[in-house]
Amino acid sequence: MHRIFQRFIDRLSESVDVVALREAMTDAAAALDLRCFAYLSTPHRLRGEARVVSTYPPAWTEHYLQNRYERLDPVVIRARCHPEPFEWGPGAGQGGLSGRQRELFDEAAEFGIRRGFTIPIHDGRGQIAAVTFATDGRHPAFRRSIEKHAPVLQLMAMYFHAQARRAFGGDRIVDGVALTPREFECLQWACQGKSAWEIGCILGISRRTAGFHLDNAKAKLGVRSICQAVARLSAAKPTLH
Amino acid sequence: MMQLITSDRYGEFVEELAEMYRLRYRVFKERLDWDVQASSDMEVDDFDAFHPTYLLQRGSGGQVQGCVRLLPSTGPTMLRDTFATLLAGQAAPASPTIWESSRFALDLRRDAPKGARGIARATYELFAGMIEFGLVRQLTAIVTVTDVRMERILRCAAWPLLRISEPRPCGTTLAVAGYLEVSAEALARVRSGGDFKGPVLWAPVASSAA
Repeated sequence: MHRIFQRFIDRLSESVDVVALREAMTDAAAALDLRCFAYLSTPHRLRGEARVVSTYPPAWTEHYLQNRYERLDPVVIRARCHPEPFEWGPGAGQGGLSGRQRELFDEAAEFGIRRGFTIPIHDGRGQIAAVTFATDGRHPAFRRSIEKHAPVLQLMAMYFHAQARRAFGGDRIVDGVALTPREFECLQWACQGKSAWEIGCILGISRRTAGFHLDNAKAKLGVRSICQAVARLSAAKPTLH
Repeated sequence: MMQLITSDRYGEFVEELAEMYRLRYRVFKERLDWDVQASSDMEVDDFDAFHPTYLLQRGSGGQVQGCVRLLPSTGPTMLRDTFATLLAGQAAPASPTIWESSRFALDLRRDAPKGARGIARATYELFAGMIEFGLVRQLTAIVTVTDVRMERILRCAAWPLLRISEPRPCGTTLAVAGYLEVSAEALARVRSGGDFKGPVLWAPVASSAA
């Protein structure tokens, strides 16, 4: 297992895109007797789209994302509320599901996804991600692997999330300078004439934190005032990293 | 006892890494209530994905009770990418002889053995480990982002922070960036404060870090 983990870490750092990340996780999971996996990252609040990297059947992930199942999926809802890893599937407490949720599980089962082990990741700013290892039935090897490797799987999930976030381009480039999504967001509101206090209210953070992000953005852009930063932002056509 | 974990050895130290992330969760999330990323009981951030070197400090019972993360300043660093505002307009250091330390954490029992000026010996041990690591890697300084409380401890431990700029409010604390000297003199002062007669990093570990 130690070698599998080391190889996984090495391959993650060599990965230049989401495809390579997916392969690294696929191989590590297979080496640990875990048939398939899915990484899901949900956007801030309810705007934006969920992102998925997985080895689930593409027809299922497509169907899932099109129907915005992440808003309904009991696994995602639980991951959102509780940070502890958990198992789900037949016999793992499926009471209290709505009709639609039951249907969702039935549909997933048709694609061979019947039980799983999910590791939630909370970023402290309301965004959540989750890595799920899943199987199509009662595979004793699957259970044994989960029981034996749970802490390692947790580490793998967190490393994967860190790399995936970068691969998906969390940072925005303004004039060749990388701004974090928060810095970019604060600056965009500043562009519309909002004060740090107002930005704080809009984004649900303190005035001081909004000011901190704006100061960081100014420092990175090498300008002294918000006016200058706003000018730089307007002049540049921000591109996703 | 100290352990040094380099990225080519993560596989061998999976359990230690997990224990370290749990320690960081206890310190940064539970005790200090920082806005950090977490899964269950572990705290892992984006910089952990850049193959840092870690120093772990173990208590007499063998438990991981202290840690610090070290990254070369030639790559992504917290100072450059997260706390640029603390640079006060200066360029972030990017030199092979400067590394950045971050996520310095200690979770000690109240009755943990003390060294000079009421500072725990474990704290001195972790400081000494950082300087020994720096000397082996031929560094001249360690750059760090910390808070004024930690800055005070560093000063008391005779390893003062050379400020890059004035402290600035950040969340619930006052953050400050600065340099820590890597030198035989600094090591002697820290060792004497913690009453360590020799190296805190085991010789075979220290030589493999070269």
